[in-house]
This record gives sequence, C-alpha cells and structure tokens, in this order.
Amino acid sequence: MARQAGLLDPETINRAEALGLHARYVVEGYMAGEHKSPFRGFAIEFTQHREYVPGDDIRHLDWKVLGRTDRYYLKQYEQETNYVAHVVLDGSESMKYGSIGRPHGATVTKLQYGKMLAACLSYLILHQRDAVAVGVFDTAMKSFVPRTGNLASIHNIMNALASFEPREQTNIANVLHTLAGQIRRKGITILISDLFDDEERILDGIQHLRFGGGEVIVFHVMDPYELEFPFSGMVEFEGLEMPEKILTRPREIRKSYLREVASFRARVREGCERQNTHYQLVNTSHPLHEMLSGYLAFRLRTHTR
Amino acid sequence: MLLNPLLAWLGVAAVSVPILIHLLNKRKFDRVVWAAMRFLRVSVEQNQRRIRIEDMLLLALRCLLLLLLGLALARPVARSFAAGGWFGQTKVTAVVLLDNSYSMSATDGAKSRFQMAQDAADQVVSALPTGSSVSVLFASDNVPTGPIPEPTFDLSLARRLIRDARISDRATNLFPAVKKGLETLDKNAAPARELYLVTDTQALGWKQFGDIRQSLETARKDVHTHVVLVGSPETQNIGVSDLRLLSGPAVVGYPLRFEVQLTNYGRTEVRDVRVKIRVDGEQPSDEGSIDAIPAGSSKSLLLFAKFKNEGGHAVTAEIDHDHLPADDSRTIAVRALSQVRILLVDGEPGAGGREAETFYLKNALLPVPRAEVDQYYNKVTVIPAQELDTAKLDPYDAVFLANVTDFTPSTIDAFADYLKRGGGLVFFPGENCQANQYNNVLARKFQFLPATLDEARGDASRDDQFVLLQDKNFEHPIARLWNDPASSGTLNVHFYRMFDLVPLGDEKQGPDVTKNAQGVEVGRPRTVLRFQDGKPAMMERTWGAGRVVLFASTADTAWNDLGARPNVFIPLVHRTLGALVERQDDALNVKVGERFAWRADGRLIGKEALITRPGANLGDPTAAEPRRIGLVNNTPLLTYDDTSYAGAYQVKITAEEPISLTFAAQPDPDESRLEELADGQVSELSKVADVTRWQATQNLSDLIQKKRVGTELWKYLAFIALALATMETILAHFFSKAK
Repeated sequence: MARQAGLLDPETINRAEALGLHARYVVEGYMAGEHKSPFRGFAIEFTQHREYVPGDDIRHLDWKVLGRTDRYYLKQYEQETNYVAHVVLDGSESMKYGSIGRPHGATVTKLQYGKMLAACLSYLILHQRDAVAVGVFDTAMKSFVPRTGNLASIHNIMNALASFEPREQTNIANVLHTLAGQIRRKGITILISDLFDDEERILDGIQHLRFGGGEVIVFHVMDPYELEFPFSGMVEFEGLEMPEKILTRPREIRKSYLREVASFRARVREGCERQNTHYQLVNTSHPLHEMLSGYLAFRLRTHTR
Repeated sequence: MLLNPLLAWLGVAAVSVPILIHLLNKRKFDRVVWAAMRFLRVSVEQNQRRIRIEDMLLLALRCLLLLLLGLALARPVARSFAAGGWFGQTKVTAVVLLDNSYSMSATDGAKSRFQMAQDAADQVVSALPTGSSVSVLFASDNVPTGPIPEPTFDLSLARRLIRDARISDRATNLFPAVKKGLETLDKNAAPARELYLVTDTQALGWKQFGDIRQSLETARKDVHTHVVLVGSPETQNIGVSDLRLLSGPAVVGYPLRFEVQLTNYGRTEVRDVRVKIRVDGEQPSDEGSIDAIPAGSSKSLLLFAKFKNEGGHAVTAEIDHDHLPADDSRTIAVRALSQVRILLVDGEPGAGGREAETFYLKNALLPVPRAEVDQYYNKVTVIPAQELDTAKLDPYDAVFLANVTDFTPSTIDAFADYLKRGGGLVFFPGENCQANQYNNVLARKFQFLPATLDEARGDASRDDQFVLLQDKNFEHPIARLWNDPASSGTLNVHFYRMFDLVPLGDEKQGPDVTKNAQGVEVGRPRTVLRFQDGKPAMMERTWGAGRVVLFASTADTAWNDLGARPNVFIPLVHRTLGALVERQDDALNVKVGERFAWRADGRLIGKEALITRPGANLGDPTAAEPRRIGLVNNTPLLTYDDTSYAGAYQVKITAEEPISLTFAAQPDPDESRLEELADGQVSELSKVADVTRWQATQNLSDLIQKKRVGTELWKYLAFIALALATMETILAHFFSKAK
C-alpha cells in the first residue's frame, strides 16, 4: 500500500470526478454520434420526459402520463454503456527522466507522473462503473491488469502500477498493434507515454486502434526540461535508453533542440488529429489535477453540444 | 625589432592561456542523464560542426589577441637603421653640427633660424637614448669649434650649451664641420654613430656640396647622418656689403669720405634705402639714401664722418633692420692720425725747386698756401737719393721714391723691415732708373714691386703723341673715386712716355696672398689705373704689413703732364697716400672668423691685453678676454682668434703707458646671399642622409627616434588587439546565442 501512496491524489480525484461524470456523456455521445449503439432502445435508467412529436416511436410514450394528464410525452432514458477503457502506460527507461521536484520538492519522473495519471483515470473510470484495463509496457506489455469493472480492483491496478520498474526501451507501435488485436469491444484506449519512438509507427498503431472503432486519447508526457532545455555551460548528456553520450554546450543548440521537439510534437499532434484522436501534452511540472481537469473540461466543451 | 623582447615571450606564453582554458573547459562539464536524446542528437548533429568552428574561431581570436597584446607590450618597431640591442636602444654617439653663421639670424618675425636650429638641436639631443654621448660643434666657415668638441655623456649639459649658444657673424661652409664631425665620430668607435647637421637651406654653406656628399657617402655604413633644414626661404635682403675710407689718410678733424656699398640680395628691387654712418657708436654723423637698388646688384653711397681724436675708431654704416639683421650694419676700424709723415726721395733733385723730381709730389702732398704748411697734417721731408741709405724710414708713414737710380742692399733690407712693419713705398720710375735692378732685385727677388718694368715707350719730347688714362670702370679702391665724374672730374692726363708694366702674377686668379721665400705674405699684384690701351699705368701690391705702389711714368712732368694737373694729381697722390696709411689699418680689419694679429712694439712682449667683444659692456670686467702679447716668428704679436662677431673689438694693453686699440671684424657679404639649396641637391643629399625640413610644429625627437629605431608599432598592435577584443566579445555573444 505504501508504494501506492501518492498515485491517487485526493484533489485530483475530487476535481476529476465532477468532470468525469460529464465525461461519460461525452464519451457516450461521442460514441453515439459516430457509431450505431447496439444498446439503443434497451434503456435502463430514466432521465427525462419530452413532448411527443409525430414520428416518434410510440413505444416510448409514457402511458401513465397520458392517462393522467392526456398529454403525449415520451420517456427518455440514459443509455448505460459499459465500455472498456484501456489505460496503457509507457514504462520504458526514458520515462525515468525527471528533472525538478514537483510539487513538494521531490523529483517527479515522467513515469511517476504517468502512473498517477493512469491511476487517477482508472479510478475515475471505475468510479463511473465502467470497465478499465491497465497495462504498463515497454517493448511489450509487461504488467497488465485485465479488464475490471469493480472499483475495488483499483487496489490491484495501483499495485501493479506502483510495483513496475522500467528496464527496457520502448516500442509503442508494437504494443498498440498487439492491443488493437486484443480489444474485442469498442472502447477508449488511453496512451500515456513520452512517445520517444518513431512517430510514424506510433501513429500507425493509433490508426490500428482507431480502425476497430475505438477512441484513442494520447497523453504525451514531457518533462519541463525536455520542453524548455534550460541547460547552460558544458553538459554531457547520457542517454537513458541508449548507451550514448553527447558533450555539448546546450545553450547554443537550444533553439535547434526546441525546434526539433516542436516539430515532433506538431507531427504527432497532426497525426493524431487526423485520426480524430485527442492529443494532450502533459507537462510534468504542472499539477496533475490542473492538467486532467483541464483536459476533461476541454472534452466536455468540445463534445457536449 | 622589439624593444622589450621579454614581453614578447610573455605574450607567446600568454597564448597558451586560452588554449588551456579551452581544454580545461572541455573537461569541466555537467553530467545529465537524458531521455530526449533523439532531439538532442539531431540538434547536435546540426550544430556541432558550427560550434566547433566557432570555438576554433574564438580560440584563435583569443590567442591572437593575447599574442598581439604581448607583442604590443614588447614595443615592436619597424626597423629602419642602426644596430639595436636586445635590451633597449643602443647607445649612440652623436655629433650635432649647429650652423651658427649669420644667415641663421634670418628671422620670420617670430623666431630666427638660429633659434629654430637650437630647438631642433635640443630635440635631437633629447631624442638620444640614455647613455648616449654627444658632441656639439658650431658649423661655420672655418675650423669648427664648439662648446663640446669631444662627445660628452652629460646630455643635459649639451642641451644647456645648445640653449646658450650664440649666433656668430661668420659665413658658412659646412664641409669642414662635416669633416670634423665625421672625424670625431671616427675616433669614438661606438656601435651607433650619428651625425646631425642643423642648418638653413642657404646654398652658400653647401658650396662644397660634392665633398660633403662624398664624405657622407664614404662614412655612410658607419655613421648615420641627419640633415635638419630649418627656416623658410627668404626672398628679400639688403646688406651693407662694403664700407671703406675713400678719401686720403684718416686725419683727425678733417671730414672723411666713406664709401658705403649696399647690395640687394633679394629678388625684387628695393627703393629708398636709408643709410647712416656713425663713429664709435655715437649719433650718426651723416646719412643718406639710395633711391633704388635693382635685385641682385650693389650701389654705393658716399657719407662723411669726422674723427675727434687720434687713435682707433670704429666706423659703422647701417641700414634699417630687415629679416636678416646681421648684415644690416658693418663696422670698420680706422686709425685716426693727427699727422702723416712722408719721406720723398728724390733721384734727380737737380737744382731744386721746379727742377726737382719731387717738386710736384711735394706740392701735391701739401696743397695749401705756404703759410699753412706747418699746420697741415702732411709733414713732408725731402732727401736726395744718396741719403736714402742712411735715412731711417720708420718714422714715416709713407716713402715716395721718384726716379731713384738704384738701391744698396742695406736700403733694400731697410725697405723689407719697413714694409713688414706696415710702411708704404711708392715708386715713380724715370730716365735714371736701372730697370734691371728694379726688375731683378725689387720685383723678382724681394717681390716688392707688383710688376717689372719693360721697355719704356713713347717719346717724351713730342707733345702731340700721348696716351690717356682709362676714363671709366675703375675697380681699384684708390681709383674708384673717378667712377663718379661729377664729384671727381676726369683723368685728363697726357702720358708721353712710360714703362710697360708687366704684372708679376695673375691679377684675377690665384690666392690673394702668397708667402715668399722669406715667409713674408705678399699680396697679389693689382692694377690701380690703366691706360686707355689697357696696359697698367699704376699698380700696387701688399707686402708684409705694408704696401708698395708702382707707377709707369715719372713723378715730374718729364714724361707726362700729371704734375701740371693738380685736380688729378692731388687726389691721386692723396688717395695713394691714404691707401698706404690705411694698409696699417688693414690689420685692424679682419673678416669675421679670421685671426686678428697685431704687430706690437718689442717692449710689449709678455704684456696682457684685454679684449672686449662687440656689444659687450666695456666696463664689465668679465666681458673682457685676456690675451698675452707673444713672440711669433720673432715678431711680437697680439693675436685673437675668436672673432666670431662682427663689429668693433676694444683692446686695452696694460703697460706703463696703457695702449688702447680698436679693431673690427666684418662679415663676409657672401653670407647675405640667401639663395636656396637646389631641390636637386636636396634629393641628392637624401641619398646619403636623412633630410628633414623641420617646422617648429614638428616633433623632431619622434621623427628621429622613429628613424633610429623605426616606427613603434605598439599603438597599432594595441588597436588591432582592441578591435579583436571587441570582435571576440561580439562573436562570443553571437555564438552563444541559442540557435
């Protein structure tokens, strides 16, 4: 349990929960707009009444209201989906990088941040009584908590997340393809990664996932130092994944580096958006709750019209 | 070469500093474990090459900067001459030749050339490296003297002496000075030897240009010569080029006629020149003016002066000051006599009276009524030729010998002694003359006579055949009077018979004075008067301190009608007498720079004489220079060499009876000519010496130092280093900007 501590930030959960409720509509609505739902008509939970307009299915008329008030109202129901969300977290060595202590002085690596994000999302989804499957991968899926709809399983998830230690390089595309083959039902795949891989292949994997009809959300985790490159003087950079050393004066190549990063992000983002995939940059220096609630609010804003 | 070579090594050593820093920097770096290697790698790949080039560029710049700074501190110079040591400049032995001739007194209004030359010399000395020695010599027309004839290490003394130097009234000839300077340098075998010649551009000083050039050329590999030319060209100058007594002997109380010759040395005509004459510095006794003097020519003017008492007097003619003040006045020393004693030796006294050969001479010498003869200044004694042998010549100022047949050896010895002491002899030949003795003994052996007597020509008995005298172009001072017929009349004299005078020597060429076998200085024969056919009628020469005049015809009217023409004969005889008496004054008038030698009485040997220079205060005992009368060649002589200044010198001899003398030095009028050294000569000179036309605004020290050690480059290096430093800063800033 000690290792799980910190994965679930109460503030984050609090704020995400409120948003997450709406998010579910969004997900549903989004899904409904895109695909024919097999569950339509099997309404289970009543939501509201609506006045009848000609052409409506009279099966949904509320006879009781008609009998009492002589008015035609339709009963509307909340469609309850039990989609499966796959939260896949990149656990490669590159994720071990963390620059500055956040928020209370402790250094936060991208992996830690990703774990927190994964945990929060899992909790959120389970709390909505949706099913979630959580996996941590590097070259292949390494630690996997199978689909569960039980909120109590959050402990398993958190345990699996907390206990994961990165050891290998990343191969996101491979994992995504594998995942796409495994997913039988349409759902949401949430990819949490620094994406330090060949972006073309990553985009291929996303496309594969999307091809099955599921939604993909990409959380691109970056350390602020990776985004800003604020080094000066003579610095020797030692590769985390690659056994490589580069000695340079970072100040003088900063612009070029930033340009590289920006163009990479632009390419990824563009690729994602082409596939109607949300791309969200996650700066580990920003508090998780801000980022998450910001994203969820964004979803809410863009998809509940 | 480098003046501080050690610092250059320091600079070289300093170059290693940025390299070391560069290398150390490469070792000192932060280690960062980094995830986003892929971006980094791309960036580095894109930039590493540029960064390396920039690094190398900056490194090179910094190295260069330090190297330049080191070099600048090492004070490099672009060498031009002189051997240099590794530690500082080589000590130099220098000779400064300072032209102190009077052309250097030419002033541009603010400063004279000499003052500029002093400034220049001062800068020359101050430009000498520490430990140098310098000799200072004055360059003028004769043997160069100077305050520091041998090099001294006391440079401040040299500078002070240069400051205190006085300009002289000498003329210039730079060659002796250059020669002396080179000799001085030759004796002092220092590694670096320099000769500085500070002079004006007057052409006169360079009259031995070829010699100067030659000797500089010869010495060139050992001695570096700088010629510093000061002063701007002067185009106008008038000078008193001559002053002489024109009338007969300078007798006290009689108005004396002086001829003042003015010369316009400038390029334009000068009008209305006022001339004054004064005696012994008193108020001008006479003045006059010349209307116009064309450029380059001379004009004379007659002015009168009178002496109040016997003895030496200084007569000064002066004009208003112009840009060259030194030649605006001229002073001569004249000995005023109260009487002139003349001995007439009659070779054919006949019955006396008109028959005497000397009758007309005596009358001409005493041109006053019989009653006034005793008061007249000329005291005439007539003796027959036979008494000549026993006569004492010394009391007489002049001896006239008319138609004397021959002379005994003792007489001839007496003549020699008499002439040596300054006596004057005038020979009038005649029928009685033994031309052989005249020619062989008087003329050839003793060289008394300026000419030999050739065949007598003409017929004295025929009045209708005669020869006249020249009527113009009188060159000799005795006859110059007749150049102005308005005041002196014409020489309308008939000569019926005369000797042909054959001059003993060339009149125009050769030295003025030669020494004969006995060591007596004998002057060149000069013609005083000519016949119209160009043959000499009257000649003279100096002999020792005396003078000998020879006529071609008789003193009486036997061969001519000279005696019958008092308007010609009286002035001629008086002028001749004046020339004889003045000859004694010749010793009192020396050219500036010449030795003054005065033949003293034997009793004065060993006595001290105090000589006061012109312009010095007579009462000031320190101004007087003591000299002792010594025996030179068995002759008691008072000599004084330092006649560098024009004007009257006062001599006081302390004896039982104190004697005071005045002698005067006259500048060489040639020095007044301000013709410039030709440009061609200057460029010719540049081949063997550094020629600088110096202006007062120029820093000569710098110029010389630059020439000696070359141009110092440290300023340029420092400037380049500064530029490099700026560039380095800008580049470093630019390079370190994120890219």
